Amino acid sequence: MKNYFTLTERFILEILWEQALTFEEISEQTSLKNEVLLNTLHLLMIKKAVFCNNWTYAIDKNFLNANTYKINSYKWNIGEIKELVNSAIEYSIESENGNFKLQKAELSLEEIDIIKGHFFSIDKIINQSNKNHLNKNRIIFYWGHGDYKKIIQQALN
Amino acid sequence: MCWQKAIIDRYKEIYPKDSVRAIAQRVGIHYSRANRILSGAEMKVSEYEAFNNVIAKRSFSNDYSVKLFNQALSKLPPKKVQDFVHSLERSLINYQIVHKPIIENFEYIKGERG
Repeated sequence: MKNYFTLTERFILEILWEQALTFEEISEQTSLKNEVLLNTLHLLMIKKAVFCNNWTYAIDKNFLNANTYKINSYKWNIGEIKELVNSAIEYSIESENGNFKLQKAELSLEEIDIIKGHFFSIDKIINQSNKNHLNKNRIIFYWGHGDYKKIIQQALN
Repeated sequence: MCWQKAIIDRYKEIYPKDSVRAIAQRVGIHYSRANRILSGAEMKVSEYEAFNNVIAKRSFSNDYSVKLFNQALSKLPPKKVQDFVHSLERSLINYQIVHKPIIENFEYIKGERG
């Protein structure tokens, strides 16, 4: 058994976290094709993360509580992050609305601090957002920065 | 029979427009034999190899890919190999989630559980 969740598995778990839903409701919220959804739900049931009762799918809280540390650990998430970023880049290349930006820049320390301040603000807005909005828009933001030389060095390691 | 289905599916992915006659010609087997195989008759080893050769010729630089994988496995640090394998594994699961309507096709997941 693979001890991590794939992108679609995570997506469904995040949706089911708040409430149990029927197949149709999950389908409506995820816009996944029926066969993809069916296969993913089946995988989640094999992993005992989700169970089905009266045509409703729900998270097995016992399983997830017992594995919360592992599920949220960096090691578990790094694969998902890489896959999401990869997919975001591909989406950006193939879609007209793509907006993935990566900029190599030469900036002063003051300018870097200003940008870091903006990143901090973004982080704050996202983390303080009211989780109980009625109209939720599921969206992924990606941001960050790094020393060019160190990133190149990392690639060579 | 599972391998037979897999190889026929792979063939159809590479040559989706091939008629039974075209398959027979390309693989080098008789038309009626190709017809029977496609209807579910069991392949002989020689026929399996013939299908496999046709697929290998057309697959994306098959030999080169295998050579590259072997080089990567023997030369790259274990961490890099592990990352690569992990990424490949995730891609494969995604592929199967999308392309395999029958859940029992998650061979390697079942294999690990077995």
